[in-house]
Amino acid sequence: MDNSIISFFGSSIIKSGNLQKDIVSFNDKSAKYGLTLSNKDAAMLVKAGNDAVKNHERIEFGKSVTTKIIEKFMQSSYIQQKDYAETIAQLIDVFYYVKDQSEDTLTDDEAIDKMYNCFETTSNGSIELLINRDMERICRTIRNGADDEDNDTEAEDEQY
Amino acid sequence: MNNIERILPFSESDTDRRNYTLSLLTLCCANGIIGNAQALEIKEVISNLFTETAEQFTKRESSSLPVATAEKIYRSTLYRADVYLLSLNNLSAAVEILRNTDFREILARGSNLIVKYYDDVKKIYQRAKKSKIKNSLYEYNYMMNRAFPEFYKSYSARFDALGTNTSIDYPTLYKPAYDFDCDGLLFIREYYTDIMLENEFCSFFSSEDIEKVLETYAKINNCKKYSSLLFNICEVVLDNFLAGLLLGKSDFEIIMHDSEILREKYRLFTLEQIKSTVRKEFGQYYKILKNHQLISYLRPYTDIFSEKLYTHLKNSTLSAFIGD
Repeated sequence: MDNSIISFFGSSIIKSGNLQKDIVSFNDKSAKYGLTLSNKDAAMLVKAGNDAVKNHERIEFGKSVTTKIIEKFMQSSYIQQKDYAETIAQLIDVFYYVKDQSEDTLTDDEAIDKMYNCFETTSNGSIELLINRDMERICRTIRNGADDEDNDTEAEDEQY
Repeated sequence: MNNIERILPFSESDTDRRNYTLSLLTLCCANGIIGNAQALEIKEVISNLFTETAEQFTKRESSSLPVATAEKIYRSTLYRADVYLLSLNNLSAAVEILRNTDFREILARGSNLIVKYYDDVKKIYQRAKKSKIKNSLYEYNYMMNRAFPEFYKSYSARFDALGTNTSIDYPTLYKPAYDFDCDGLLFIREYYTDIMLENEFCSFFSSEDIEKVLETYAKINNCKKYSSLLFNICEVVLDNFLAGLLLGKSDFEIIMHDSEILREKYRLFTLEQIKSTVRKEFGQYYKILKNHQLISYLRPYTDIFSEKLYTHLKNSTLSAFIGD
């Protein structure tokens, strides 16, 4: 008998039907930034969220983080309509990477804020730089303790 | 006998005591005792409680958790029901309750029992501590001095009910610590109850005698000191005590220097004859031991001892059992 939580609940306790509606409902707010998501995009993002949770070996139980990411990143100066859905999908994966790498010391809001700040400044809208350089550095600093932050930053500056 | 008892198509051995509720639920669903609708209702209650507990754990600041952490919380949720259903000590009664009681009520009763058990284990430990055996066996002393306080100060029934936050390697008279078929608070309760009884039995003997017997045990095992070995003190004491009874020793004597006499006296006995003699001799001590719980705990050991003795008699290895 498999008694694991995954076999009991699956990796998400959130009902995807509601989430898809929630995602589309953000169009009212995002339209002023010239960004909207279709039902198909929303379905893709629900799946991306589920896959990311599974790939990062996590269980999702509260309000989905996807809507929080949409709400924050719709304000980005780097995201355009043509790559909006795809970028959000990638950011969801970055988010769970950050949660893991920070050993869950960052709350959801803190993780999203740090991702957004980096995306808008040092990463200049590049997902690759965001995950491989900027968030990686922040997470390493967190893991090593705040005292190492200066040394880490210096080392990173030399490297890049 | 009620209806359920008559028709139950599975037995206690089909259940998993370490995950009792879920195993019972699976068996009941598979055998049509609990229908799909009720199973889904129970799953919904567990799901809601898990979500609520996980939110408490993250202080509502995270919407996800690593699987390993979530697993601990999920198992802690089910543990409440396990504790209550196991406390019934009756499969039919557990099935009846599962079928006819709101699952939230089962969880609430489990929570109340956990609070009671948490209080109980402290009393059990304090009683065990009162009759602690004076010796230098590392694992015993770690278990008596450090393991329980470590458990007691950090146990979390809400977030990690199956954990103990300590490491116990010292075996009890009947089994290694890892062989208990329960976890968390239930393990601690069962384990320290055994230890309490073993300590109380050993307190009938003088510390000096116990020390000598343990030193002999070390020599038998080709060690200078017994302190780093892993064995059960009560077992060594009992072996020597029961062997003494067979030689007609009285009171609580455990110092053996006469394995040869023992061999001569019993070498022609069958296993059944030895068992019957040991039971009879030990039975005479029931009045002195007084404590029924202690007697019930020790009684099954007489047959284990008899089998060991019989084997050593047959193999002429008695000195490796109780020394020369």
